[in-house]
Amino acid sequence: MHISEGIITGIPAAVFTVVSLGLVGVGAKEMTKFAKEFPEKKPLLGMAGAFIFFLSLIPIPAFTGTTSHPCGAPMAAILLGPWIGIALTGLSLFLQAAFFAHGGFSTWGANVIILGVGGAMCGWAAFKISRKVGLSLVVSAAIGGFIGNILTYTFAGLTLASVLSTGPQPQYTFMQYLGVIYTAYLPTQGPIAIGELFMTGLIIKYVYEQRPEILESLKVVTVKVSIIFLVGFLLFLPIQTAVAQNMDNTVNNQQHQAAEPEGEETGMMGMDEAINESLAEKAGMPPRDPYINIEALGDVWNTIILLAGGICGFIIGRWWDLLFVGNQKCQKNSI
Amino acid sequence: MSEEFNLNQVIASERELERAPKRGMFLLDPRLKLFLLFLVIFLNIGLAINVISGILLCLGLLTFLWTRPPLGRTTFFLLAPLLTVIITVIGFSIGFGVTPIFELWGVSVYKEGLIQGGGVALRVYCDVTWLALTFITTPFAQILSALRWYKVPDILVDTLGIMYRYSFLLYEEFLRMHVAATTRGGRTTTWKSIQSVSRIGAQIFLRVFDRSERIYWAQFARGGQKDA
Repeated sequence: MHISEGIITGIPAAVFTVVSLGLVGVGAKEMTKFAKEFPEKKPLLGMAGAFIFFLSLIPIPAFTGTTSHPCGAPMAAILLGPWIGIALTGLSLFLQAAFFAHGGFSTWGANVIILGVGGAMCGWAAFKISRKVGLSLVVSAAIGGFIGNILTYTFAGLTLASVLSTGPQPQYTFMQYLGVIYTAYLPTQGPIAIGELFMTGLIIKYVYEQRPEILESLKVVTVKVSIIFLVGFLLFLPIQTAVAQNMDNTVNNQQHQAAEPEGEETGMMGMDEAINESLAEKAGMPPRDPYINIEALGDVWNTIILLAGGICGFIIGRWWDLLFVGNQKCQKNSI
Repeated sequence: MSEEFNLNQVIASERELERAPKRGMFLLDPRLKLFLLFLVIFLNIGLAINVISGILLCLGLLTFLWTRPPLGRTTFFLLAPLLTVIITVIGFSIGFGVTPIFELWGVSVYKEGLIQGGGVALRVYCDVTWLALTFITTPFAQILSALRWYKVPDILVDTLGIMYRYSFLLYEEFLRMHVAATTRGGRTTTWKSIQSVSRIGAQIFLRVFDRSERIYWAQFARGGQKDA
């Protein structure tokens, strides 16, 4: 992806650099905020940067002046946020240019936009959208990694093709350059993008399996939905108990009434007895007991009602979260 | 890649840097070196005139001869962009121009493209020479101090310092775990390889997380400010 030193010159190089400095500046502000909020996690920023640094330092040469490699930026953005991801990308590219002659200072701006916006920002956006539509954490992370990787190379191709097609005496048009560049990227970058898809998803999965509290503390996931569910269940439990007791009393009353001798006042009848059964009898179809008479099974009937209530409560809670909590940009879902 | 990221080599290189006789670029203040570097990049890339790039490259090479920086890192710096430069020159030679010089396997090589590719190679090596002169002759801590002097935000400089320090350490941990996973059959199939590397990545992230807190509290215990 790194566009090498010397490819972009003059005003385009200056514009890319100024825009990138602005983006990294915003990222630096976010980093300061992060360090103030979690001072004990400040060194984590450097270590996350080191992670991007290594991944994007494995160059596989492609067509004119560019290389292929895994990005790492989408994962950093998923874990720490898109702006911090962009700032770390900028620092990582600085180190690579200064100590490994990979990329360069004159193309630093273009590379920050490509890897920062294409990789970190778009990868993070894909992750968030996937979570909003209800996909699991692992699948969302995998999609984020894949989209971030693909868009990094899409942006790189667009940048390079626009620079080459506007150069002196170009042999091809913009689209032809784009075609050639993407064709050159495909054999190396296709498998790497698929690899990044699996790796991003699996890394997030393993981290969540081993230490979910880390992802919660970084606000990648939260226990909010779990708490809502728990509170709902705790509120639902006494109501269910009350309903069950009420039903028990009703059944006892009915049994008591049924034991009373005929001719005496039988009290209020249910709708089935008072209307449905009498209408059925008039129509010549006397009522009979159901094949599985669960009402007669006592507590089994109560248990089924309780289970149905629990399932309905879960469904309502889930949809409440999807419809309202998600729309309020809480960005806090559970796996 | 493992050889490039060997921590011991980096430490040896830093020691070699401290022992190196002080001449040429070694004598300059890091702030001045950074200023010179950005001036060269501005003239080389901003103007993009081959003659100026050529003069700057010659000046850089002469300064190299005077400074005589450590050979290993210098060679690495000069070789690192070579493959990309070759591909760039080939790509430009067949992708630009109207005057064909010769044809190879049905592909025409153009004069203008060759000149343009040569210009790119010149600019790349001009920048790389000055980059090497700046960063090989300056200890990293001094570069960070110079960046602070240029009012680069503290958070970025601190993060840069941690990145540089821990990159090698993390990579060594990755290599150790990777060797262990390989010896236990963790790379017998492609899917197993992906799983193994992902597990190692997750482990490294967890270690990074714990270590970052330990570093913070260690700094704090030694008098570091809580919000610094």
